[in-house]
Amino acid sequence: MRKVNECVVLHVNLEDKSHFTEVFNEEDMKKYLGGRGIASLILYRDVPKNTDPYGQDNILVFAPGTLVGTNAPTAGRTTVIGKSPATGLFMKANMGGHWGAELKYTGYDALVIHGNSKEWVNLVITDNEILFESADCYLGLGVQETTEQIEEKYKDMPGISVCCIGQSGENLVKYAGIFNSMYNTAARGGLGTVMGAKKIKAISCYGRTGIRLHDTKKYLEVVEYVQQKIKNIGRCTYYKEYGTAGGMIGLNESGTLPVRNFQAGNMDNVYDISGQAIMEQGNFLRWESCFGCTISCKRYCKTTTKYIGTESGGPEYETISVFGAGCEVVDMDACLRANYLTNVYGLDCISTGAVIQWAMETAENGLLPNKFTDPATGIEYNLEFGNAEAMLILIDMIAFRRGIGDLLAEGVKIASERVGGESWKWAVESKGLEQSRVETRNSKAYALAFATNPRGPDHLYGQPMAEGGFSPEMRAIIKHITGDEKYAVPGSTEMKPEIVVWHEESYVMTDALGFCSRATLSTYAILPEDMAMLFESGTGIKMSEDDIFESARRVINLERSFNMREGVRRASDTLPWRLMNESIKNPKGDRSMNSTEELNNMLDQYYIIREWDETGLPLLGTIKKYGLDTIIREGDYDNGN
Amino acid sequence: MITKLKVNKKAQCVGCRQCELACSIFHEGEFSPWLSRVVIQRNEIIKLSKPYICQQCKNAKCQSSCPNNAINPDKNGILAVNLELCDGCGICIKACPFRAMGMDNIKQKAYKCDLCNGEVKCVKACPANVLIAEEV
Repeated sequence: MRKVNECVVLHVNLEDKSHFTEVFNEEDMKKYLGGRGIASLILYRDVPKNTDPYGQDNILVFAPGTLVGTNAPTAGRTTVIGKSPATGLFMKANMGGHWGAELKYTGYDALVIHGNSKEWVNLVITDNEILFESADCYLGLGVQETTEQIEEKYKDMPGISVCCIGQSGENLVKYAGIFNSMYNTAARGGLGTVMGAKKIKAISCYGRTGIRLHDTKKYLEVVEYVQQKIKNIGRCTYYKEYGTAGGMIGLNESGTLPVRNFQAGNMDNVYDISGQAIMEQGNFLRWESCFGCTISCKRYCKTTTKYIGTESGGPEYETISVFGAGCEVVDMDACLRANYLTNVYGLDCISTGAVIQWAMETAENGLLPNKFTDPATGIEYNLEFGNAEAMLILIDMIAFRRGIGDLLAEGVKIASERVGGESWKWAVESKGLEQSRVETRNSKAYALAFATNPRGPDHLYGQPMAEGGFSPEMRAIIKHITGDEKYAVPGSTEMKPEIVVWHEESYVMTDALGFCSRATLSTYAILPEDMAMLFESGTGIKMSEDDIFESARRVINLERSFNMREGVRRASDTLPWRLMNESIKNPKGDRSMNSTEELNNMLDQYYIIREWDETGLPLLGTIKKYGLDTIIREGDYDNGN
Repeated sequence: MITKLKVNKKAQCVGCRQCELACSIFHEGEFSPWLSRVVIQRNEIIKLSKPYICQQCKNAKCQSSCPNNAINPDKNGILAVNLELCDGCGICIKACPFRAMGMDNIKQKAYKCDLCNGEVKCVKACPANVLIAEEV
């Protein structure tokens, strides 16, 4: 029987189809918390410097959080970690759905994939067996069809849970995601592309090993307490009512909706592509939840007037924002179609939409032809903002690397290098990752969090939403961190390093335990003290609030060190050029911008709090303080320069 | 006194499985949702989830079909499986028209909803108010 205080990791080697288990003991669990913490430890340990992201030395770690499989609300999430083909650096992506719980029920707490397979594989994991089944029959199929066919083939395993890649992963599009439960995605940074390089089409889990707790009575008491908080916090209810896309209207009003490839912060007719319109204009079909989630922000929707028959999970804010606002396609049905296509082909919607709007702007500036032809049909399209048909066919052409899609499949960084001119200026990326749809020019904690994020400029490493002070819970958190809620001012840089540090560390716990940031960060319903109590009562490992923050800092240092070992330094802790050099105007007419001076001031303070030197390197004393000197060896940071 | 569980047809099951988790931790002492007395059937492609629950039938097929007379009212009048008499033949599971009974393959015993001795766990756990307890 599995012990409550250990983390059992299944290592699978695709080169020789072998496998073995590794057990992380109570001490490791206390230090790394399990889930993302253990995954980052394995990544640093097992992936040497300069590893080719597509090579056999890269690994993929699938790590459901420590509490996944239990009834802790929203704790159903899985972190996937590997070296990114988009950035060449540390990458963690995270997915909800039900797959993580099913992996836990096989008796394994995490899965590590080593090596590259010669043939396409469907890896089947059960309590008793690890099977390397041929996946040839699923090649060329989208995510949902692959999942359905596997469920049908293994119908003697009812409830078998599948995570897989779509055609874009097979075709090594640089920003393919990993999908489970049909629509839940570990999207960012091309970890689905790594899965494609390893020739794993799918990983299917079926488990019948129950999960026990150290102190069931106490655990259930804390669960009951956080459940009540989720019920009573207005923002949780709001997320169920309108989904994440419910934020479109508010962001537009405050001038923080990224419109036209971040050229503007607001637009006309935003209601037409809002979460509110989804509910009120007949697109909404039903709610759905990830495993154990009592918020239910997810939804399943359909088109109403065009693309009839299009139904899919979502859309989320990021999808509707990147296609609707970013490409200026103010057309709900077209956005839902784009959402459907990215879900089928297995694409990261953020990078897909980002590269399409970059191409639209590049054509506008004369660096790409303003017309393109789809070689499959010979049909010509105008490459311009607002052209829904061009946007939709480009998703298809990217997934299959057809025509101009082959260039766009490389992401905005490489595409802009190939196109040349000044097209890099509107390639809204940093470290090689397209920025998520968050405006940082008037949200300074986000600006700092995006700059220091080891995976690139996006919100799922720090998510310092509290700086907006939109809710009593947000203001309370700002007061807790800084001593005064007056620092809940998005446009100010005051105390923002302290705010970012708290959020990054809370995010480590969130991922490591398997929670959703919707519960821990954007609504602040489940707080670090709650997570510490659940960890302690679940595993029996002593964990105070201070302890859990210390473990989170250890993980941050380890993840930072992976990038440092690759030669990354302070210069990479920056933001996309456009967001540092062009201002935007809010509806009141106020302009806002990021600047090098402002960012440098925040970075200086951030590095001091993190106990890193002025180049961004963790100090030797810091490494020793967290007991990382057995993992991070002397000379690891030497880059030969 | 709670006599049966009902599905609130006005509410929509979100497929979170909190009911299955609450049921299994109460009855089995572990989170093993496949042993839950409430079964959520989830159609993942269209995200349609539906609960299957014991109707506490007056003329219960599970009871009448059992060759060992292992299903009888407990002290609260709720039909329950007597583990000493159950031999795991599975006839009751096939007989139940509501798909509300299950088999513990390890113990080789059938199980059914016993309404948790009056304090129904799944009802409390459901965030969408889909499961309701009917008091008579």
